[in-house]
Amino acid sequence: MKRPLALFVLFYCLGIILVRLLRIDIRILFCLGVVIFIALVLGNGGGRVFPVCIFLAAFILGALNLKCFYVASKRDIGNLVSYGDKTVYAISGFVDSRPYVKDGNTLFVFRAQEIRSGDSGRLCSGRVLVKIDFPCGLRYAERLTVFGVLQRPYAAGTYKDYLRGQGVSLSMRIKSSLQLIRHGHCGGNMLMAYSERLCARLNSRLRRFLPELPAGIVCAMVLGQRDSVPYLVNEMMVKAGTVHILVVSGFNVGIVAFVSGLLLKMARLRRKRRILLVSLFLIGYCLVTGASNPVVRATIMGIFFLCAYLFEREADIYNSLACSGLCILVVNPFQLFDIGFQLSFLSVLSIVYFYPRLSSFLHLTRLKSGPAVFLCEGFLVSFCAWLGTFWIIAYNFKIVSPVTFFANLLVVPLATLITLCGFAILLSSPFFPFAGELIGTTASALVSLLLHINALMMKIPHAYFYL
Amino acid sequence: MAYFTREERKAFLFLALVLFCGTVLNLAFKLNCRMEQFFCSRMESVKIDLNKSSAEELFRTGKISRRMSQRIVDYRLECGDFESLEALKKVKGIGEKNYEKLKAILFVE
Repeated sequence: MKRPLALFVLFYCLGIILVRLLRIDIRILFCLGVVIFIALVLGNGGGRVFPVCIFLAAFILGALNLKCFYVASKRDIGNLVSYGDKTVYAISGFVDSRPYVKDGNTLFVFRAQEIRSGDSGRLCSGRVLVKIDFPCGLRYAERLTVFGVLQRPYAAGTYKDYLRGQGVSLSMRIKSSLQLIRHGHCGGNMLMAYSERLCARLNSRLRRFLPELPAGIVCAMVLGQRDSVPYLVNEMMVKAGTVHILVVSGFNVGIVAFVSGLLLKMARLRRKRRILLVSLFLIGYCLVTGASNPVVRATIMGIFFLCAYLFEREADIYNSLACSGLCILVVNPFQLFDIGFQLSFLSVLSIVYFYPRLSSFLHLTRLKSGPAVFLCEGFLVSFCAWLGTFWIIAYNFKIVSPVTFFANLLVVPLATLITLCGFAILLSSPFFPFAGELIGTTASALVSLLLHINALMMKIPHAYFYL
Repeated sequence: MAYFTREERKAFLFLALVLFCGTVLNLAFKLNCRMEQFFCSRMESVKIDLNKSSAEELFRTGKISRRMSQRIVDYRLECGDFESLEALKKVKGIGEKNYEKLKAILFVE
């Protein structure tokens, strides 16, 4: 059978979708799981029983995973606080996500460990979305005690589902600094905490060599920090269908793999050690940029390809894509319904599936002129990615951007150069600050060009329209 | 003699090109300030001028309602141009929260 792993993951996803659409008792799923496991053991000898059972097992595993995700522990904070409760609680815990500032407010997910009301207190678990009405410079894993009223998120569908997918069942709003006590100690995952600090240092390094506006855009492209991207720039790119360049994705991971491999090769390290170190760099970059779905996908796929190169085996892109999807869904099956996850995987899948077929259909190999090949290939890749994603974007964001093909043809190469300049600044500036300044000047000019091109695209009639 | 692989040559070529462009641009900016304005976008270029924008332009940003954008323009017509962004708080309906939202998209020259 070709690509059994991809089929396995497909059935796993179908199981997750089934539980989301239908109410099935978890006991039924467990019983089915036991039956299939017995059938697997008995059918291990050969024949068709084993493959059928393994895919059914994948189906049941996906269903069970999501079902278990729905079940909150008895100590979960969502179970301790009833609907409409106006009691002021004191909750101790730590910051469990990277805080970001939006419209002057600080938002983050808070991991609760102890809840107190008056003189009584008890241990608890679970996550709370905290919104503070002022910027306060919090960091991941910082220990806090917050005081306030706990509320359920709004009943309106998608945002509540999104929060539930993050494991958040309650929210709290803090209006005054008196409602917040910072303990300064470090809780949470130490690796993530160090990654966040490193990200902050790299961010400040980029800002040293770039003016404010280009710095915000380069930080988004290189480090995934989108806080400083001006609102109107973001809006303009959404309308032009080029906002994906502000997201850290496979391309950035590819650059890290290439640059680190190149430097290690120049250091004349052996292949095995080089591949191991490149894999470690990829994992480090994934953590520094916040381990979003596209970066995790690209990192796992990159490691797959490196291992294939190491063991002299042929890498299969569908299997590596499936494996990266499985790794994400095993940790959090709700990610299947996350728009970022869907866009990231579908765009890669549609490029991988449609590009070779369309390329041979259009006989691109007959083209001999370099610029013509570059233009046609670029347009085709953009078209293939659009084929896989336009319906999700239209359904969720109610916008269609016909100008996206032409915009991407110009913007993506520019974004490539800007990203490369960003990495060059980070690598060269500790040793040669003057080089960092020169590269920064070039990067600023490229960012300016990119914004001009985007603005020009928006002036084309019917560049975008809302549904 | 040093031997460079094809990838190494491409990487060095890119670095040399970027450094060369940076040097040329730095020199050009010193000689001609207009070039610096074109090539170095400032935050103001991606924000809206509070004293020159119409109510429609303010509304199309998506950050304020049509009524609020009209109030801003009416205030400007009555009391003259805004001297600073802080003066926005004098417009009816713009408190601290709305001001924080508008600060990100507006500027005063």
